Amino acid sequence: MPYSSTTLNVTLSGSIKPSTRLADQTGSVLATVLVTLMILLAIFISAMTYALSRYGKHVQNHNRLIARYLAEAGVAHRQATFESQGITFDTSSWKAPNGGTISTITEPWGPYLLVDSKGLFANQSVHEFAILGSMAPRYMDGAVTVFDPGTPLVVAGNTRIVGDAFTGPMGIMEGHFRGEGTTFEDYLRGTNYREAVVRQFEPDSTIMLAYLRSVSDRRLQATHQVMGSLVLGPEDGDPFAVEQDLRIRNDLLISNARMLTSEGVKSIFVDGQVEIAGTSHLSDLFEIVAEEFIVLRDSSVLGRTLLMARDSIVIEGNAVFGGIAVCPGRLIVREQAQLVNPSALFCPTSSKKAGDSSGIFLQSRGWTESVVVLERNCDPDSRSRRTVYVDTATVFRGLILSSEQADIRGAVFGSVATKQFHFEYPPTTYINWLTDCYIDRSKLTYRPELPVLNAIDSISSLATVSQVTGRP
Amino acid sequence: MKNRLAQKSGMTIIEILVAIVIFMAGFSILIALMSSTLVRFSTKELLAADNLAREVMTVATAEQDTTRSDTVIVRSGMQFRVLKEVKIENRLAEVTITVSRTKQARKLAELYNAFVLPQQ
Repeated sequence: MPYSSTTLNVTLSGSIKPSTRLADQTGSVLATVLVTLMILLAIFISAMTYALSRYGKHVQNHNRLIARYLAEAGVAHRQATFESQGITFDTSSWKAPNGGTISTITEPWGPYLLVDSKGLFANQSVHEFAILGSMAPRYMDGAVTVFDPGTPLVVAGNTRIVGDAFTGPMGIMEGHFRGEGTTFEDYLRGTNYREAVVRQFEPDSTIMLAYLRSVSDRRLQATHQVMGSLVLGPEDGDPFAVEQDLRIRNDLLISNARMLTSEGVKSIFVDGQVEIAGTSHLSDLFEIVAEEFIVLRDSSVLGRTLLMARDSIVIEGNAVFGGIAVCPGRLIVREQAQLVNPSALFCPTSSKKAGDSSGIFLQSRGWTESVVVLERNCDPDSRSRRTVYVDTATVFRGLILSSEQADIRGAVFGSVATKQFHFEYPPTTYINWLTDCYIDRSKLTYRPELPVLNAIDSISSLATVSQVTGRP
Repeated sequence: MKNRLAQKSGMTIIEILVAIVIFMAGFSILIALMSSTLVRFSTKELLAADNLAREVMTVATAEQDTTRSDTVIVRSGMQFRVLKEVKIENRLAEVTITVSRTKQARKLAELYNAFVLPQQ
């Protein structure tokens, strides 16, 4: 039939048209068909690959979610074990009910504990680093606690206390004080608990000793060494990734540089001094240990860093600090420097005579929110004076725990627990006097974490950092 | 028609190839559609189960809720069974959240976490 014959011809020439190069050549249609076949197969394989890769990605996220919760569970397990069985620095690993694995490593982190908990599920692993300390004891629920019950607390001048006070006898300086200022009628809003003996609580010194031993061991073991000074700037990489622990034989200067750890916690041991300036930014878990002093200045920002210096640590300019600073000498926060929560300043006892005025000096006009702890003098006969000082223009929010003296001139939104208050106005000195200061417990709405205390009430977390290390 | 084709050399192979191409094209499209539908369905199911498990775990740990529960929740048009089990020992609360489809017993997500209960 001519009609059907025409139709067949049109169909063939329309759908499978040989190229002009191959026209009229034997087998040209076969080649065209094969090419079409390959294109169709390629489309099919692409569609399948895309769909399967999307599915694979979701499975990976699913496994990572499970691993993240396992890592969190590891921290809680360690926390519970420390409370029931005491603190141990060890490594442990166990199987979770859902088939995953939890591994934890506990190390001292200054006066706190650092738990590295790893959750492993399928091929995904997540690390949860938690800095653990002690929940503030009951006395810290008050505004003022004085451990020395024998010396009366004198509240004088324009002092105002909002909150409870745990003290021995309390006196009021009526009328004028040194010719200036008068006593406010509402100097104390709360109750004065005149307990016979207020138990003095102190940090667990074994934690700090273990940390100091660990520092000296790790300093010697640091494989990567810089024989002179190290100066880091933006030209050294933005950000500069620290791959391994580092020992610098001279000084370290970080100026306008951002630093990250490639994985986990990285330690930098400096035999000289450390200066962090400009717009430098360290946000990961770093540990910087200096044999001399550490200065943070300009607009530098330090997040979860642990700083330790033998002589002094100074935070000044517009620097922002949110880590843990440990120094047996002087720890000074001044100018417009800020302390942000969670942060801790710790002045441990030292076998070395630290001079006659070691302690923690809060003299900043910027916002300071932290936990401040001063340990007692190791030599009770020593004449060196150790104190926590809050300057007149300083507003501090948090907890102050001093096993020696506290000299409060400014405002404390939180709680102060001390062996004695101290007020010095040369040439006179008043022991256990609070003069012209403002302590308001109601302005601290949460319970900050102190370093691990001797009598552990409960262990809680100061801060946590998560790191995903799973393979794609 | 038979005579016409028989007269032309190579016509039989061309027809067979055309048939193969048409068949392959149809088959490819069908398989691709089926697999992507299956994968999309599994992905959707897995995502919904993960979100549900995470939601229940977040509430349990944030509110320190230690009550056991077994509920049926509908998400994205699918019905899930969410089982929350809690084991308490020495103030440590261990929480396991298991999410499965109500129609099948297969577990889609099983999260495990723990938290320390505050002192009384």
